Amino acid sequence: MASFRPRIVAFLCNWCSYAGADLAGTTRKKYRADVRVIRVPCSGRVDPSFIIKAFERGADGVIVGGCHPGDCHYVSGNYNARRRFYTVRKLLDFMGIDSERFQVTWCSASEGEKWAGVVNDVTDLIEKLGPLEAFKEMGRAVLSDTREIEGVAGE
Amino acid sequence: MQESSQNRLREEAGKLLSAAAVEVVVGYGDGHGGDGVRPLFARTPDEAAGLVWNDACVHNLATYLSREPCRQILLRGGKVGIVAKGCDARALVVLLQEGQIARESVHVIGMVCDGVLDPGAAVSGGTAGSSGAVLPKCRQCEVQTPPLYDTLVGDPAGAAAAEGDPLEDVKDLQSMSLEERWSFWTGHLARCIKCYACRQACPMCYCATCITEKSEPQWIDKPSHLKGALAYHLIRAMHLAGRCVSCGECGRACPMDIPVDKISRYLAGQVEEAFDYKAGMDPEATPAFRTYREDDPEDFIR
Repeated sequence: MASFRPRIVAFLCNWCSYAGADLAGTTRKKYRADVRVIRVPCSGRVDPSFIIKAFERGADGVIVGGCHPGDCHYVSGNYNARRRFYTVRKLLDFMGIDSERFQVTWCSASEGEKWAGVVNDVTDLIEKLGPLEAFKEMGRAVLSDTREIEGVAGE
Repeated sequence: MQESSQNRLREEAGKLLSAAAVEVVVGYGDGHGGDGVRPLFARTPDEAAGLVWNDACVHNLATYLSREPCRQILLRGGKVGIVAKGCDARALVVLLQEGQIARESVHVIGMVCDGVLDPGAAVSGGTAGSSGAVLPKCRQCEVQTPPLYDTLVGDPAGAAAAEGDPLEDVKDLQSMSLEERWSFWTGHLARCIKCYACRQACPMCYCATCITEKSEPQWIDKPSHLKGALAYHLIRAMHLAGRCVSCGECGRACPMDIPVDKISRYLAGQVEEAFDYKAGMDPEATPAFRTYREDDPEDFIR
Protein backbone atom coordinates (compact mmCIF):
# COMPACT_ATOMS: atom_id res chain seq x y z
CA MET A 1 0.00 0.00 0.00
CA ALA A 2 3.07 2.21 -0.20
CA SER A 3 2.00 3.92 -3.37
CA PHE A 4 -1.76 4.17 -3.16
CA ARG A 5 -3.04 6.45 -5.86
CA PRO A 6 -6.70 7.18 -5.33
CA ARG A 7 -9.17 6.93 -8.17
CA ILE A 8 -11.44 9.93 -8.14
CA VAL A 9 -14.34 10.45 -10.50
CA ALA A 10 -15.47 14.03 -11.08
CA PHE A 11 -18.81 14.92 -12.63
CA LEU A 12 -18.46 18.47 -13.86
CA CYS A 13 -21.12 20.85 -15.07
CA ASN A 14 -20.57 21.83 -18.69
CA TRP A 15 -21.12 25.54 -18.04
CA CYS A 16 -19.04 26.21 -14.97
CA SER A 17 -16.85 23.59 -13.40
CA TYR A 18 -15.84 21.87 -16.63
CA ALA A 19 -14.80 25.24 -18.07
CA GLY A 20 -13.08 25.96 -14.75
CA ALA A 21 -11.12 22.73 -15.01
CA ASP A 22 -10.31 23.62 -18.60
CA LEU A 23 -9.05 27.02 -17.45
CA ALA A 24 -6.84 25.32 -14.87
CA GLY A 25 -5.32 23.41 -17.78
CA THR A 26 -4.90 26.30 -20.20
CA THR A 27 -3.32 28.46 -17.50
CA ARG A 28 -0.95 25.54 -16.74
CA LYS A 29 -1.97 25.10 -13.13
CA LYS A 30 -0.34 22.03 -11.71
CA TYR A 31 -2.60 19.73 -9.75
CA ARG A 32 -2.89 16.08 -8.76
CA ALA A 33 -3.68 13.84 -11.70
CA ASP A 34 -5.78 11.24 -9.92
CA VAL A 35 -9.07 12.65 -11.06
CA ARG A 36 -11.12 11.40 -14.04
CA VAL A 37 -13.46 14.05 -15.34
CA ILE A 38 -16.89 13.27 -16.80
CA ARG A 39 -18.71 16.19 -18.35
CA VAL A 40 -22.41 16.51 -17.56
CA PRO A 41 -24.84 19.20 -18.76
CA CYS A 42 -25.57 20.36 -15.20
CA SER A 43 -24.88 19.25 -11.64
CA GLY A 44 -28.61 18.57 -11.60
CA ARG A 45 -27.98 15.83 -14.16
CA VAL A 46 -26.01 13.83 -11.63
CA ASP A 47 -28.37 11.08 -10.56
CA PRO A 48 -27.43 9.54 -7.19
CA SER A 49 -27.10 6.27 -9.13
CA PHE A 50 -24.03 7.74 -10.88
CA ILE A 51 -22.33 8.23 -7.56
CA ILE A 52 -23.22 4.77 -6.28
CA LYS A 53 -22.12 3.19 -9.55
CA ALA A 54 -18.82 5.05 -9.48
CA PHE A 55 -18.04 3.66 -6.03
CA GLU A 56 -19.20 0.22 -7.09
CA ARG A 57 -16.89 0.29 -10.12
CA GLY A 58 -13.82 1.14 -8.09
CA ALA A 59 -13.78 4.87 -7.37
CA ASP A 60 -12.31 5.82 -4.02
CA GLY A 61 -13.87 9.24 -4.16
CA VAL A 62 -16.40 11.20 -6.18
CA ILE A 63 -16.51 14.95 -6.78
CA VAL A 64 -19.45 16.78 -8.29
CA GLY A 65 -18.77 20.29 -9.57
CA GLY A 66 -21.58 22.72 -10.27
CA CYS A 67 -22.24 26.41 -10.71
CA HIS A 68 -22.44 28.69 -7.70
CA PRO A 69 -25.96 29.14 -6.35
CA GLY A 70 -27.77 31.62 -8.57
CA ASP A 71 -25.47 31.01 -11.55
CA CYS A 72 -27.04 27.83 -12.92
CA HIS A 73 -27.38 27.87 -16.71
CA TYR A 74 -30.74 26.16 -16.21
CA VAL A 75 -31.71 28.51 -13.37
CA SER A 76 -32.21 25.98 -10.57
CA GLY A 77 -30.41 22.74 -11.48
CA ASN A 78 -27.76 23.19 -8.82
CA TYR A 79 -30.31 24.12 -6.14
CA ASN A 80 -32.26 20.95 -6.83
CA ALA A 81 -29.05 18.92 -6.94
CA ARG A 82 -27.93 20.37 -3.60
CA ARG A 83 -30.90 18.77 -1.82
CA ARG A 84 -30.17 15.42 -3.42
CA PHE A 85 -26.46 15.53 -2.63
CA TYR A 86 -27.19 16.43 0.97
CA THR A 87 -29.41 13.34 1.16
CA VAL A 88 -26.90 11.08 -0.62
CA ARG A 89 -24.26 12.04 1.94
CA LYS A 90 -26.64 11.24 4.79
CA LEU A 91 -27.48 7.90 3.19
CA LEU A 92 -23.85 6.91 2.64
CA ASP A 93 -23.12 7.71 6.26
CA PHE A 94 -26.07 5.65 7.49
CA MET A 95 -24.96 2.65 5.44
CA GLY A 96 -21.45 2.84 6.91
CA ILE A 97 -19.62 4.48 4.00
CA ASP A 98 -17.61 7.57 4.86
CA SER A 99 -19.60 10.44 3.32
CA GLU A 100 -16.37 12.45 2.96
CA ARG A 101 -15.66 10.28 -0.06
CA PHE A 102 -18.40 12.16 -1.84
CA GLN A 103 -17.54 15.82 -2.30
CA VAL A 104 -19.42 18.66 -3.91
CA THR A 105 -17.92 21.92 -5.05
CA TRP A 106 -19.32 25.09 -6.55
CA CYS A 107 -16.69 26.15 -9.06
CA SER A 108 -17.23 28.74 -11.79
CA ALA A 109 -15.64 28.95 -15.23
CA SER A 110 -13.21 31.56 -13.97
CA GLU A 111 -12.09 29.55 -10.96
CA GLY A 112 -9.36 27.39 -12.46
CA GLU A 113 -7.29 27.97 -9.39
CA LYS A 114 -10.11 26.92 -7.08
CA TRP A 115 -10.60 23.71 -9.09
CA ALA A 116 -6.93 22.84 -8.81
CA GLY A 117 -7.11 23.44 -5.07
CA VAL A 118 -10.23 21.31 -4.65
CA VAL A 119 -8.65 18.41 -6.53
CA ASN A 120 -5.50 18.63 -4.43
CA ASP A 121 -7.48 18.80 -1.19
CA VAL A 122 -9.80 15.97 -2.10
CA THR A 123 -6.95 13.79 -3.33
CA ASP A 124 -5.14 14.34 -0.03
CA LEU A 125 -8.32 13.53 1.85
CA ILE A 126 -8.98 10.31 -0.06
CA GLU A 127 -5.34 9.31 0.32
CA LYS A 128 -5.77 9.67 4.04
CA LEU A 129 -8.98 7.63 4.00
CA GLY A 130 -7.31 4.96 1.89
CA PRO A 131 -8.85 2.82 -0.81
CA LEU A 132 -12.57 2.08 -0.55
CA GLU A 133 -11.77 -1.54 0.25
CA ALA A 134 -15.31 -2.39 1.22
CA PHE A 135 -16.60 -2.05 -2.32
CA LYS A 136 -13.50 -3.57 -3.92
CA GLU A 137 -13.86 -6.68 -1.78
CA MET A 138 -17.43 -7.04 -2.93
CA GLY A 139 -16.31 -6.85 -6.55
CA ARG A 140 -13.59 -9.45 -5.96
CA ALA A 141 -16.07 -11.76 -4.24
CA VAL A 142 -18.37 -11.54 -7.25
CA LEU A 143 -15.49 -12.23 -9.60
CA SER A 144 -14.40 -15.34 -7.70
CA ASP A 145 -18.03 -16.51 -7.55
CA THR A 146 -18.31 -16.16 -11.29
CA ARG A 147 -15.07 -18.07 -11.84
CA GLU A 148 -16.27 -20.86 -9.58
CA ILE A 149 -19.49 -21.16 -11.51
CA GLU A 150 -17.66 -21.06 -14.82
CA GLY A 151 -15.19 -23.66 -13.52
CA VAL A 152 -18.05 -26.01 -12.71
CA ALA A 153 -19.61 -25.42 -16.09
CA GLY A 154 -16.31 -26.09 -17.84
CA GLU A 155 -15.76 -29.51 -16.29
CA MET B 1 -64.90 0.67 19.57
CA GLN B 2 -63.21 -1.52 16.98
CA GLU B 3 -66.37 -3.57 16.67
CA SER B 4 -68.57 -0.56 16.03
CA SER B 5 -66.00 0.72 13.50
CA GLN B 6 -66.05 -2.66 11.80
CA ASN B 7 -69.83 -2.58 11.51
CA ARG B 8 -69.74 0.96 10.22
CA LEU B 9 -67.03 -0.02 7.69
CA ARG B 10 -69.09 -2.96 6.37
CA GLU B 11 -72.14 -0.73 6.13
CA GLU B 12 -70.31 2.04 4.23
CA ALA B 13 -68.56 -0.38 1.88
CA GLY B 14 -71.86 -2.20 1.27
CA LYS B 15 -73.57 1.08 0.43
CA LEU B 16 -70.83 2.07 -2.03
CA LEU B 17 -70.98 -1.29 -3.78
CA SER B 18 -74.77 -1.57 -3.95
CA ALA B 19 -75.00 1.97 -5.33
CA ALA B 20 -72.28 0.96 -7.84
CA ALA B 21 -70.33 4.05 -6.75
CA VAL B 22 -67.18 1.91 -6.83
CA GLU B 23 -66.37 -1.36 -8.58
CA VAL B 24 -64.35 -2.81 -5.75
CA VAL B 25 -63.56 -1.97 -2.16
CA VAL B 26 -60.03 -2.89 -1.13
CA GLY B 27 -60.03 -3.68 2.57
CA TYR B 28 -59.06 -6.29 5.12
CA GLY B 29 -60.64 -9.73 5.47
CA ASP B 30 -60.12 -12.69 7.75
CA GLY B 31 -56.75 -14.34 7.32
CA HIS B 32 -55.99 -18.03 7.04
CA GLY B 33 -57.02 -19.97 10.09
CA GLY B 34 -58.66 -17.05 11.86
CA ASP B 35 -55.50 -15.34 13.05
CA GLY B 36 -54.62 -12.00 11.59
CA VAL B 37 -56.01 -10.48 8.44
CA ARG B 38 -55.24 -10.39 4.75
CA PRO B 39 -56.26 -8.00 2.00
CA LEU B 40 -59.81 -8.48 0.73
CA PHE B 41 -61.17 -7.22 -2.58
CA ALA B 42 -64.92 -6.85 -2.08
CA ARG B 43 -66.91 -6.56 -5.32
CA THR B 44 -70.43 -7.17 -4.02
CA PRO B 45 -72.31 -5.95 -0.93
CA ASP B 46 -72.24 -9.55 0.34
CA GLU B 47 -68.47 -9.64 0.12
CA ALA B 48 -68.32 -6.30 1.90
CA ALA B 49 -69.87 -8.04 4.92
CA GLY B 50 -66.60 -9.97 5.17
CA LEU B 51 -64.52 -6.85 5.76
CA VAL B 52 -62.81 -6.72 9.12
CA TRP B 53 -61.23 -3.97 11.15
CA ASN B 54 -58.97 -4.69 14.09
CA ASP B 55 -55.43 -4.03 15.27
CA ALA B 56 -53.99 -6.71 13.00
CA CYS B 57 -54.76 -4.56 9.94
CA VAL B 58 -51.14 -3.68 9.25
CA HIS B 59 -51.06 -3.81 5.44
CA ASN B 60 -50.79 -0.57 3.52
CA LEU B 61 -53.46 -1.20 0.92
CA ALA B 62 -52.53 1.89 -1.11
CA THR B 63 -50.05 -0.39 -2.89
CA TYR B 64 -52.91 -2.17 -4.64
CA LEU B 65 -54.06 0.94 -6.50
CA SER B 66 -51.15 0.66 -8.90
CA ARG B 67 -51.51 -3.11 -9.23
CA GLU B 68 -54.16 -5.37 -10.71
CA PRO B 69 -57.14 -5.35 -10.66
CA CYS B 70 -57.33 -1.74 -9.44
CA ARG B 71 -54.92 -0.46 -12.08
CA GLN B 72 -57.12 -1.66 -14.93
CA ILE B 73 -60.27 -0.32 -13.25
CA LEU B 74 -58.69 3.12 -12.78
CA LEU B 75 -57.24 3.12 -16.31
CA ARG B 76 -60.66 2.62 -17.87
CA GLY B 77 -62.15 5.36 -15.72
CA GLY B 78 -63.77 3.19 -13.06
CA LYS B 79 -63.83 3.97 -9.36
CA VAL B 80 -62.16 2.11 -6.54
CA GLY B 81 -62.96 2.20 -2.84
CA ILE B 82 -60.10 1.75 -0.41
CA VAL B 83 -59.88 1.30 3.32
CA ALA B 84 -57.09 3.46 4.69
CA LYS B 85 -55.55 4.07 8.08
CA GLY B 86 -53.91 7.45 8.53
CA CYS B 87 -50.49 6.16 7.45
CA ASP B 88 -52.01 4.49 4.38
CA ALA B 89 -53.83 7.71 3.52
CA ARG B 90 -50.43 9.46 3.57
CA ALA B 91 -49.40 7.10 0.78
CA LEU B 92 -52.59 8.01 -1.10
CA VAL B 93 -51.66 11.69 -0.75
CA VAL B 94 -48.27 11.03 -2.35
CA LEU B 95 -49.91 9.07 -5.18
CA LEU B 96 -52.24 12.04 -5.74
CA GLN B 97 -49.37 14.54 -5.71
CA GLU B 98 -47.50 12.43 -8.24
CA GLY B 99 -50.49 12.14 -10.56
CA GLN B 100 -50.83 8.39 -10.12
CA ILE B 101 -54.46 8.53 -9.07
CA ALA B 102 -57.23 11.04 -9.74
CA ARG B 103 -58.96 12.25 -6.62
CA GLU B 104 -62.45 11.60 -7.98
CA SER B 105 -61.73 8.01 -9.01
CA VAL B 106 -60.85 6.84 -5.51
CA HIS B 107 -63.27 6.69 -2.60
CA VAL B 108 -61.25 6.64 0.61
CA ILE B 109 -62.84 5.06 3.66
CA GLY B 110 -60.62 6.59 6.33
CA MET B 111 -60.26 4.65 9.56
CA VAL B 112 -59.51 6.38 12.82
CA CYS B 113 -56.75 4.18 14.18
CA ASP B 114 -55.02 3.99 17.51
CA GLY B 115 -52.24 1.75 16.37
CA VAL B 116 -51.81 -1.68 14.83
CA LEU B 117 -49.91 -4.55 16.35
CA ASP B 118 -46.45 -5.62 15.34
CA PRO B 119 -47.21 -8.94 13.56
CA GLY B 120 -43.93 -10.36 14.85
CA ALA B 121 -45.00 -9.64 18.39
CA ALA B 122 -48.66 -10.60 17.98
CA VAL B 123 -48.35 -14.11 16.55
CA SER B 124 -47.92 -15.95 19.84
CA GLY B 125 -50.80 -14.19 21.54
CA GLY B 126 -53.65 -15.97 19.76
CA THR B 127 -56.19 -13.51 18.48
CA ALA B 128 -54.78 -10.21 17.38
CA GLY B 129 -55.31 -7.59 19.99
CA SER B 130 -54.90 -9.85 22.98
CA SER B 131 -51.16 -9.27 23.27
CA GLY B 132 -48.18 -7.73 21.58
CA ALA B 133 -46.92 -4.23 21.06
CA VAL B 134 -47.88 -1.69 18.43
CA LEU B 135 -45.63 -1.16 15.42
CA PRO B 136 -42.90 1.44 15.93
CA LYS B 137 -44.58 3.66 13.31
CA CYS B 138 -47.66 3.94 15.55
CA ARG B 139 -45.68 5.62 18.31
CA GLN B 140 -46.47 9.34 18.47
CA CYS B 141 -48.69 8.86 15.42
CA GLU B 142 -49.82 12.21 13.98
CA VAL B 143 -52.34 10.77 11.56
CA GLN B 144 -54.75 8.80 13.70
CA THR B 145 -57.35 10.68 11.71
CA PRO B 146 -56.32 10.22 8.05
CA PRO B 147 -55.15 13.37 6.23
CA LEU B 148 -57.40 12.37 3.32
CA TYR B 149 -60.79 10.61 3.29
CA ASP B 150 -64.27 10.66 1.81
CA THR B 151 -65.93 8.70 4.58
CA LEU B 152 -64.52 8.69 8.09
CA VAL B 153 -65.11 5.70 10.33
CA GLY B 154 -64.45 6.06 14.03
CA ASP B 155 -64.28 8.90 16.50
CA PRO B 156 -61.26 11.21 16.07
CA ALA B 157 -61.65 12.45 19.63
CA GLY B 158 -61.32 8.97 21.08
CA ALA B 159 -57.92 8.11 19.58
CA ALA B 160 -54.71 8.25 21.61
CA ALA B 161 -51.26 7.69 20.12
CA ALA B 162 -48.89 5.19 21.68
CA GLU B 163 -45.89 6.64 23.44
CA GLY B 164 -42.26 6.16 22.51
CA ASP B 165 -39.97 7.16 19.67
CA PRO B 166 -40.95 5.86 16.22
CA LEU B 167 -37.32 6.14 15.09
CA GLU B 168 -35.80 4.46 18.14
CA ASP B 169 -34.34 1.54 16.13
CA VAL B 170 -32.93 3.94 13.54
CA LYS B 171 -31.28 6.07 16.22
CA ASP B 172 -29.70 2.96 17.74
CA LEU B 173 -28.00 2.40 14.40
CA GLN B 174 -26.99 6.04 14.11
CA SER B 175 -25.24 5.87 17.44
CA MET B 176 -22.96 3.08 16.16
CA SER B 177 -19.60 3.74 14.56
CA LEU B 178 -19.23 3.87 10.79
CA GLU B 179 -17.56 0.45 10.73
CA GLU B 180 -20.28 -1.07 12.88
CA ARG B 181 -22.94 0.26 10.59
CA TRP B 182 -21.11 -1.08 7.56
CA SER B 183 -20.90 -4.56 9.05
CA PHE B 184 -24.53 -4.34 10.18
CA TRP B 185 -25.71 -3.60 6.65
CA THR B 186 -23.36 -5.89 4.76
CA GLY B 187 -24.33 -8.67 7.17
CA HIS B 188 -27.98 -8.13 6.41
CA LEU B 189 -27.72 -7.33 2.70
CA ALA B 190 -25.52 -10.35 1.99
CA ARG B 191 -28.67 -12.37 2.68
CA CYS B 192 -30.80 -10.41 0.22
CA ILE B 193 -32.19 -12.80 -2.40
CA LYS B 194 -33.40 -9.95 -4.65
CA CYS B 195 -36.98 -11.18 -4.60
CA TYR B 196 -38.06 -7.51 -4.70
CA ALA B 197 -40.84 -8.13 -2.16
CA CYS B 198 -39.89 -4.78 -0.59
CA ARG B 199 -40.53 -3.08 -3.90
CA GLN B 200 -43.81 -4.91 -4.48
CA ALA B 201 -45.10 -4.05 -1.02
CA CYS B 202 -44.20 -0.38 -1.41
CA PRO B 203 -47.04 1.93 -2.45
CA MET B 204 -44.48 4.38 -3.86
CA CYS B 205 -42.84 1.77 -6.14
CA TYR B 206 -45.30 1.96 -9.01
CA CYS B 207 -42.97 2.36 -12.02
CA ALA B 208 -44.08 0.08 -14.87
CA THR B 209 -40.43 -0.59 -15.61
CA CYS B 210 -38.30 -0.48 -12.49
CA ILE B 211 -34.63 0.49 -12.69
CA THR B 212 -33.81 -3.03 -11.53
CA GLU B 213 -35.22 -4.35 -14.80
CA LYS B 214 -33.23 -2.01 -17.01
CA SER B 215 -30.16 -3.45 -18.62
CA GLU B 216 -28.91 -0.65 -20.89
CA PRO B 217 -27.14 0.54 -18.82
CA GLN B 218 -27.38 -1.98 -16.05
CA TRP B 219 -27.55 0.09 -12.89
CA ILE B 220 -28.10 -2.82 -10.58
CA ASP B 221 -26.33 -6.18 -10.92
CA LYS B 222 -28.92 -8.90 -11.37
CA PRO B 223 -27.48 -11.70 -9.21
CA SER B 224 -28.21 -11.64 -5.51
CA HIS B 225 -24.64 -10.99 -4.40
CA LEU B 226 -23.76 -8.25 -1.96
CA LYS B 227 -22.56 -5.85 -4.65
CA GLY B 228 -25.89 -5.87 -6.47
CA ALA B 229 -27.92 -5.93 -3.28
CA LEU B 230 -26.14 -2.86 -1.91
CA ALA B 231 -26.61 -0.92 -5.15
CA TYR B 232 -30.27 -1.92 -5.22
CA HIS B 233 -30.98 -0.82 -1.67
CA LEU B 234 -29.01 2.43 -2.00
CA ILE B 235 -30.75 3.38 -5.23
CA ARG B 236 -34.14 2.36 -3.86
CA ALA B 237 -33.54 4.50 -0.78
CA MET B 238 -32.75 7.52 -2.97
CA HIS B 239 -35.87 6.90 -5.09
CA LEU B 240 -37.94 6.95 -1.91
CA ALA B 241 -36.29 9.94 -0.28
CA GLY B 242 -38.87 12.64 0.33
CA ARG B 243 -41.63 10.27 -0.77
CA CYS B 244 -41.51 7.49 1.82
CA VAL B 245 -44.39 7.70 4.28
CA SER B 246 -42.62 5.37 6.73
CA CYS B 247 -45.31 2.68 6.58
CA GLY B 248 -42.64 0.02 7.10
CA GLU B 249 -44.21 -2.41 4.65
CA CYS B 250 -40.89 -3.10 2.88
CA GLY B 251 -39.35 -4.42 6.07
CA ARG B 252 -42.45 -6.43 6.92
CA ALA B 253 -42.53 -7.99 3.45
CA CYS B 254 -38.89 -9.12 3.52
CA PRO B 255 -38.69 -12.94 3.66
CA MET B 256 -35.06 -12.72 4.83
CA ASP B 257 -35.90 -10.40 7.74
CA ILE B 258 -33.68 -7.61 6.46
CA PRO B 259 -34.82 -4.38 8.14
CA VAL B 260 -34.90 -2.45 4.86
CA ASP B 261 -37.54 -0.11 6.24
CA LYS B 262 -34.88 1.36 8.54
CA ILE B 263 -33.13 2.89 5.52
CA SER B 264 -36.12 4.72 4.11
CA ARG B 265 -37.49 5.66 7.51
CA TYR B 266 -34.09 7.12 8.37
CA LEU B 267 -34.01 9.16 5.16
CA ALA B 268 -37.60 10.33 5.72
CA GLY B 269 -36.45 11.65 9.09
CA GLN B 270 -33.41 13.35 7.54
CA VAL B 271 -35.55 15.01 4.86
CA GLU B 272 -37.98 16.25 7.47
CA GLU B 273 -35.15 17.64 9.56
CA ALA B 274 -33.30 19.39 6.73
CA PHE B 275 -36.11 20.45 4.43
CA ASP B 276 -39.03 20.64 6.83
CA TYR B 277 -41.10 18.30 4.71
CA LYS B 278 -43.03 15.24 5.75
CA ALA B 279 -44.37 13.22 2.84
CA GLY B 280 -48.08 12.62 2.49
CA MET B 281 -49.40 15.07 5.02
CA ASP B 282 -50.85 17.67 2.67
CA PRO B 283 -51.94 17.10 -0.95
CA GLU B 284 -51.27 20.77 -1.72
CA ALA B 285 -47.68 20.79 -0.44
CA THR B 286 -44.78 20.69 -2.91
CA PRO B 287 -42.70 17.53 -2.46
CA ALA B 288 -39.23 18.06 -1.00
CA PHE B 289 -37.32 17.10 -4.14
CA ARG B 290 -39.49 19.07 -6.50
CA THR B 291 -38.47 22.36 -4.97
CA TYR B 292 -35.61 24.03 -3.10
CA ARG B 293 -34.88 26.90 -0.81
CA GLU B 294 -31.99 29.27 -1.31
CA ASP B 295 -30.93 28.68 2.27
CA ASP B 296 -30.90 24.88 2.08
CA PRO B 297 -28.01 23.34 4.02
CA GLU B 298 -24.74 23.51 2.10
CA ASP B 299 -22.07 23.31 4.75
CA PHE B 300 -20.82 20.15 2.99
CA ILE B 301 -20.05 21.98 -0.23
CA ARG B 302 -16.54 23.15 -0.99
